Amino acid sequence: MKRPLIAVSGMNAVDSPGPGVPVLRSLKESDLHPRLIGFAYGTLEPGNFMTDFLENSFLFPYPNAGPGVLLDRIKKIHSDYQMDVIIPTLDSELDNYIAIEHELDQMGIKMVLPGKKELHTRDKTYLSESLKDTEVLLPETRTIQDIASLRQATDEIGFPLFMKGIFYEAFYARNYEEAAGYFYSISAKWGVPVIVQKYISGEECNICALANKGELVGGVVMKKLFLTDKGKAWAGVTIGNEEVKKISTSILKFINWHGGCELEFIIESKTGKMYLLEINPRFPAWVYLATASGQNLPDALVKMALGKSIPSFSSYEVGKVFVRHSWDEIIPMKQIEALTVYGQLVDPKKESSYE
Amino acid sequence: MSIGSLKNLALSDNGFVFDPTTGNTFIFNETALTIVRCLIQEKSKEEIIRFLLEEYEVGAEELERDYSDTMIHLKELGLYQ
Repeated sequence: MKRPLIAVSGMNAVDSPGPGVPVLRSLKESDLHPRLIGFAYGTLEPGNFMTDFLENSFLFPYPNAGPGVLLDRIKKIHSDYQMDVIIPTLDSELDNYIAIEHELDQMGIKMVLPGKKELHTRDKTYLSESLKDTEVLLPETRTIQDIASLRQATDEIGFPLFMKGIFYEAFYARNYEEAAGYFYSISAKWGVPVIVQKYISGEECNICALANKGELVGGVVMKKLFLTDKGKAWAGVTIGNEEVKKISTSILKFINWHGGCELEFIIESKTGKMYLLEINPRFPAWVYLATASGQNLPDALVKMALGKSIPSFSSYEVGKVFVRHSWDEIIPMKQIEALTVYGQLVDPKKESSYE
Repeated sequence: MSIGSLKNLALSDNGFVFDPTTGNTFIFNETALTIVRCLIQEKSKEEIIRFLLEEYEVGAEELERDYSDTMIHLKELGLYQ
């Protein structure tokens, strides 16, 4: 049987890690025995050099270059590496991939992506509106386009609150001055709108899930045990919270989700009520915990893409812990040179030259 | 009184306890661990005290106190309503 060639983006395994490396690690355990390559936006993204997982890595222009540039770059790589599946793992690149999904399909490259409408239904800025007729609880949220709207939003919500970027980052603000500072720093980095959200005191727990046209294929619930100063989980444990699984199943059905995702919840300490914070439109960076607990969701996604039968996941191992760590990779300068000059780690035509 | 949360707990003999629903972990002393095991077996307070008297060379008054302390602790942890 031909080994499928799968490309995975998100090689930025840094302090705010992308999901690419754990997706590759999961696929390394697939019974399809796929060949794996990585798509990166920077030479020094650590995943580029994890040659235990991938046989080559390629540099890409940033998503704001648009879908046409992305398609050209993929066509160039496809001439050397006939890809079967691409798994984009970053929020900011999904619009472009959805725009070129048909062209890639014509080239024989499959993806599992939500539709444009579904992607925006779960957008942080529309989520309250999208789920207003359901029983799902969401923290009070305002979406603002300019600093002039901040005062009214904070007056209505009250402090403390969270200031959130449209794609990434969230900051805890205790007063108007802090909120205004975060508005400027977030809008400078991620653009507008900026999201103002009520702070709920409680414990966070998330589910890493895969859905097929709204039907849950698999899902693993994790409680964060240790957070970085950016609020990223640096350690977590799988838990058997049936309520999270049940409500996630109904939300994904309601928004007709297709693909990998992460739903973030917070359970309010004083009331025990469960609030949905956001829905991330791709696997989380802790997806390998799901694999290690018995649900290899990236493998299932590839099988969905290739039209193969999807494994059925009825349970997973509860009490499995992940602890992330940092590690200094030592890289030959030739590899930096190759990525910088040629935009790829290995030239398949003269593979030995970059060793 | 409900022991629903207790029934789900993963108990180790060394006192390490994992709640698979919330992900919380706890350390219980030997007496507390024994009381929790008895509660899971749906033993009454009187049965638990009698069992502890047979197991440990401690007076009934002290065991009554240990039982009360453990129950308060379990309620504080949200493991017993």
